[in-house]
Amino acid sequence: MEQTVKPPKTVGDSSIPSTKTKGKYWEKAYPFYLMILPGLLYFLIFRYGPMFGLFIAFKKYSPFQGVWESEWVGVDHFVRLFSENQFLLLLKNTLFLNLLDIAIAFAFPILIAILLNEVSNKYFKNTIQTILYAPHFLSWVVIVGITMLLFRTQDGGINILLEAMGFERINLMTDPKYFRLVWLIQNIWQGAGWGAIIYLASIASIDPALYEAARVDGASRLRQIWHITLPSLKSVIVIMLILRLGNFIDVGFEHIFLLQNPLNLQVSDVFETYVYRQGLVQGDFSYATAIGLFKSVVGFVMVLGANTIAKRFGEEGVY
Amino acid sequence: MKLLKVVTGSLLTLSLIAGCSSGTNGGNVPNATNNGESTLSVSPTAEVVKNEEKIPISIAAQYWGGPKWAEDHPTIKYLNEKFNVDIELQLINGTEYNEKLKVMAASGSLPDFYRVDAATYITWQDEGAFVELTDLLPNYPNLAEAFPNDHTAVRVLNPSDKLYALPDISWIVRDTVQVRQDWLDNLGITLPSEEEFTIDKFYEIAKAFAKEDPDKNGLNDTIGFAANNNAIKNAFGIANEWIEKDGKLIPYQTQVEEYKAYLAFMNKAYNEGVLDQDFVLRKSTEIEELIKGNKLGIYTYKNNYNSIISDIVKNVPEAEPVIVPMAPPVGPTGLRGNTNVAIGMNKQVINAKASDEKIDRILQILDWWVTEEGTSIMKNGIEGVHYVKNANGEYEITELWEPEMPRFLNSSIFARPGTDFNLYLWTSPEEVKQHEEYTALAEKYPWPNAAMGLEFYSETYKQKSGDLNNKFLEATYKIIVGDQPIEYIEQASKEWLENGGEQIIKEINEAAQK
Repeated sequence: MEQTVKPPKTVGDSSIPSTKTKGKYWEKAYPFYLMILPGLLYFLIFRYGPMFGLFIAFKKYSPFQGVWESEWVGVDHFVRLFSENQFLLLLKNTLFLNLLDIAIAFAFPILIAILLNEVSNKYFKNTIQTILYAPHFLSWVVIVGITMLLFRTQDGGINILLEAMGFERINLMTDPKYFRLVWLIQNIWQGAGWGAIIYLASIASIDPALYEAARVDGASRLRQIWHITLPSLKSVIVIMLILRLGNFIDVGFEHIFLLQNPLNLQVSDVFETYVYRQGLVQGDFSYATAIGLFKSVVGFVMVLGANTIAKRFGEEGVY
Repeated sequence: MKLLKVVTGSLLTLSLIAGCSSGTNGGNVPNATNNGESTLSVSPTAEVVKNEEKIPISIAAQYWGGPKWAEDHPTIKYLNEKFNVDIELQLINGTEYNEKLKVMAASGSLPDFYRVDAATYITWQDEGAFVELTDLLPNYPNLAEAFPNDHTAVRVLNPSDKLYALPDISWIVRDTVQVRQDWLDNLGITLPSEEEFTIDKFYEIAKAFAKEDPDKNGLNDTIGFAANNNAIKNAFGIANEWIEKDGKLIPYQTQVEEYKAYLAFMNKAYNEGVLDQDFVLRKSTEIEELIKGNKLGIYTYKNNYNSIISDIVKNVPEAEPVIVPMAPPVGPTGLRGNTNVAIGMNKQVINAKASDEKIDRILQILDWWVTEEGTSIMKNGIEGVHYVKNANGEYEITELWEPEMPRFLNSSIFARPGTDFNLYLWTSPEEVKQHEEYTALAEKYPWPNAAMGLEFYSETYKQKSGDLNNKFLEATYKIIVGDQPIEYIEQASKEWLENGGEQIIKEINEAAQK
């Protein structure tokens, strides 16, 4: 790998290449640029191209008149969004769920990675790791479906059991006070094991000499974790956190939508479900796009802000 | 692949033009093209040679369950040959249908012939999505006769001088309360007569069904009643959307007193475990599963008990279900009613992008569909494939009847007006009689919507009713499960009015004046 990348580098090192050396450079380098091409095209076509569609957020889009013919309405949709009496509720729910997720669920993969690292039996470690990340491959429909089967009030297994043992049935799926808890636990159950992989990988790259030196100095297991493992993980954690903050106003449509019902709407209604109702159920594409654009802008600002703060604290950041 | 099919298809037809006289294609297209009335630009030769070009037609249909039609279903093959078309049938899950349509619209891939709901119909007709039918329809005499232009269901949701769709015209009232006679017998309860069947009697039966193990399986696994029993709401006098009071149209959200009585009833049912404890989560298809799974014995449903009975027996072989339809229960003030179907609200439309020739071909198919012959084929299937006539001259279904479900299109996308779409050539006279009695019983106590079709002329209704009504529904649920006191409905009603409801009432009443 190192060798193949070298040739363009050495040529590029010579200050201000003449036309002759430039020609030589291209002769040698063009295969590498060709290799970049598919990835570049992918981003241009599938990531940047569709962004042009965003301008329907400023139009009254009708699928039958087409993008160009539809009437231009300026920022009307944004005015409507901010003056909607639902807006504050949506914002509150979205932010609250995200704060919960970052404050609690974010720590679990790190914890799992550190604990797994301390396990010395290789087979036990691999088995546990597989068990932990397997839920990642289950779709939310399945996860929520299983929860429903277990916890439905009328015929859920756990509730039937509770009643048989003389306890009250619990309205886990419909009582708004349980909604956030259920959402969070499902999030952790589904995502923590998978999220731990990246931390495990960076723990593996820590120089074993550090641990040896610590052991020679008589440091305990906990001390080693505190003074070696965690500091080594710091930059990965910061990068993951910055990336996570980019989704600060996203909560993931599918999961919320499946858990939502008329009784928990006060705590479960978020921008995604609102976009779904406006865009798909009512067919108001422009309004839905405007909300999506608003969310993206907030996410962008969050990433920029987090990155700047991270740099100020001497961390690397994502760019 | 598809392109290849189309190309070869059209090449084939080209080579067949010579042999393709008007007789072979069942072309009962009236020769209206020569009197200049038609807007179709049909080439002059078309009068001699009908349907010479093979035309691909895409049709979207709501799929609700049961076997799915294969691409080479005998009925599709029959239509393809008869009208020289290439039908592509898209089956879309019924519950996702309306959303899917909007996605298709946004990506410009709407089918040629499809069904839309009322709200979409109103919005899209202004945007020029559908073929205007007023001038075309007279060219297809059978269709014109089946859907007369002065019929309410045909006219509703259309501007006064235009027509964009052919509606569904069948039941006036489709559902009524039905009860499991065998469960009543197991518990020693006698079936109440029409006069005795009050809301309290309903409650008594439901409670017994929930608590006393009516299916005698030793398990406490049955449910009293599900939350979709509109007949209960009606008994308390709550409007089917809108009701006329003192010459003014008012929506159900303003009927605070009626709601208090209704919610008290439902709250009691919930607390005593008579109402389904998961009523908030249960979707209509899941309630159907409860009925079929021998868990629910008193419910509001359509005239489908023969297939329900066979489904119950399939799930619980030892059950001997007997289902009896009943009049809706009488409420405390003597009111009773079965919710009317919003007739003419489902509209079958032709995509405005279709070529004149394609429009003609679709209308030809529909024109044939409403005839005796057409309806028989679309309903009973193809003779010799789906049913046969035996030596005694009686009709019998073949083993392909169930797996191929030839009735599917007739019950899902288009049908001749009437309620006989589930009566077949082999249906026994007793069943026909049963069907007629059922219809008479269901329609005896209608509960109509006084503002039917008007809602969609209110801009505020279109923009806000979804969220407003959800909020109101949320409030009723909270009261039923006991999170809020019954008086909370006053606040919910007030909020509904303040956040846009007043405006909706005003706009609907204005629309009613027109």
